[in-house]
Amino acid sequence: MQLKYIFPIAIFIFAITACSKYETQYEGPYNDADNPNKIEYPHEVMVAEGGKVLLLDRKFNNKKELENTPPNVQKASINFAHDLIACWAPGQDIVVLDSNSVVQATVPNTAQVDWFDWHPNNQTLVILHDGIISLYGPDVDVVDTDLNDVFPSFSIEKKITCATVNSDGTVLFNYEFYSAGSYYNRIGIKQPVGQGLPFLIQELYPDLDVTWMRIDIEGNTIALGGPTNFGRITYVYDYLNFQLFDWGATQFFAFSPDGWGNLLFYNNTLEYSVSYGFYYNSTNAVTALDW
Amino acid sequence: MLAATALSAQAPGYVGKRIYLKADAHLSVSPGPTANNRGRTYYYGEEEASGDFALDTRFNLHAGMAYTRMNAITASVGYLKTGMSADAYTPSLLSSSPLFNSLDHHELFYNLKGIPVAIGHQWFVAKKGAIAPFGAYSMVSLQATFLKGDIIDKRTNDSVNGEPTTHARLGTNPKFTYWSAGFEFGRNAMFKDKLLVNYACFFNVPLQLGMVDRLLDDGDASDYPKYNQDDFEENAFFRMVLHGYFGFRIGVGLFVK
Repeated sequence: MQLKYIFPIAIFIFAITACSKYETQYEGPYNDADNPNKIEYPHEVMVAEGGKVLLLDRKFNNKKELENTPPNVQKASINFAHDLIACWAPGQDIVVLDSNSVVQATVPNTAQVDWFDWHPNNQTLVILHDGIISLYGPDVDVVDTDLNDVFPSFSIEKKITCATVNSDGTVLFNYEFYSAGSYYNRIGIKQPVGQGLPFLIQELYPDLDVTWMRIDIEGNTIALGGPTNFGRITYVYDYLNFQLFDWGATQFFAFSPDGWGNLLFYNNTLEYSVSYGFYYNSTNAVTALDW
Repeated sequence: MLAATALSAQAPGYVGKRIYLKADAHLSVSPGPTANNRGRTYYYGEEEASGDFALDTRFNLHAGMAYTRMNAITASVGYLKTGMSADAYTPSLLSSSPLFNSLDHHELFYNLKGIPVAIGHQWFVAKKGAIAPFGAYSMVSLQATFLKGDIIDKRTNDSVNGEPTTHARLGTNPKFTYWSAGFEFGRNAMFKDKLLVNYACFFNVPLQLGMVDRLLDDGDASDYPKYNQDDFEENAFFRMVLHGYFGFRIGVGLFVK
């Protein structure tokens, strides 16, 4: 090879191998020394236990008791953003606190309530009493606020136990009645116009003594039950497609806000629907669970 | 005069030049990813794997000294940068007990930086008119390359859905020393009695043959962090085997003395 060719060849080779900046495809650079080697989870899981409201992280190893709650709290709900908690004790108005125990509001005329839960907007509290839905907070769409028209004529022992509203205004509720010699226990879903059938019904086991209800953040999946029974219902918009699961021993259930397993409470133990090995054992009676 | 001629014929060095210094570059066709994930193999074959042509390169400062008319010793130090992918596993930070020993899987891309240091011996070919350190030669060398890896990209596959990207430390010390033997055939050309131009072809073979056994052993991913360290070292070893297994050297320098 003649020397006069070497340098142009070398320059060409260096040119095609010149460095260019790396474009991150995934998570980018990583330095092991900067890794904190632990995960700090915020307080997201709410448990009403022994009349108090507790906040737990999702590993259950960091517990915080809310202060400034009414004594003997029986019902409580935490919003999807995990920054507002509503709690209620018999005979007292609902108190709304933030996660630092600072009272944000006392909801008037709520000494008697059947159920309440947070709307997916994280700011509006949906309250049920005597089959009537009322809202506390910013206005949201609600298909119907008076649910008492769902009972058949001549039915007795009528009761709407729980109700909530999802982001498109659909009202989801549980109602029970006695008619023509039988007890009925149902889920009712009142949908906005254009969402398919305006009213969907799913029969439940008559002995399912419903005292609580939760929906997932998308508003498509309902869990409801009571201290001794548990039922879970999945429905799909525009199609009457209920799937009913009956978990007899489970007392409370809470939907995961992300891809984690859902929360179950039974035999005084809180754990996940998939086995992570985390348990929280309650020492007092649990009356509400939310995540 | 006869004695003077005889002495001159025995003295090392061409036209009195015995020592040379040069800067050179090793160039070889890269079979794997190069630094910053360029070249023939992209990260796990994903994201527009292109099969681009690339070269493995290393740059050296090189000194040689003739100690007889046909022999010279050399020493060099250099710099290289390339890329490689590797795997690592860590126990999930969600695992609260050994009963739930789920592992997070990490796919890593490293930029490997190395300082190659070598000593060698050159034999100059008399029948081709060479006189050390000028002319055609063959060379053997012993090389140690001190490698350090920097992770420039990572993809973690959490064993638990919803687990954030935070995970346990990999526990690796991404350093490895690669030992190899080099064989080279080339020529030192001289211009104006001082300027040196060098071109050569070379091949390198690894000396740590025990690493081959380790490469063939998949290891136990749950044996953390030993598995991660082993995987780094094995991949670094294999990458270096392919880095400069055969190629060309081009250099310029001076005959200084």
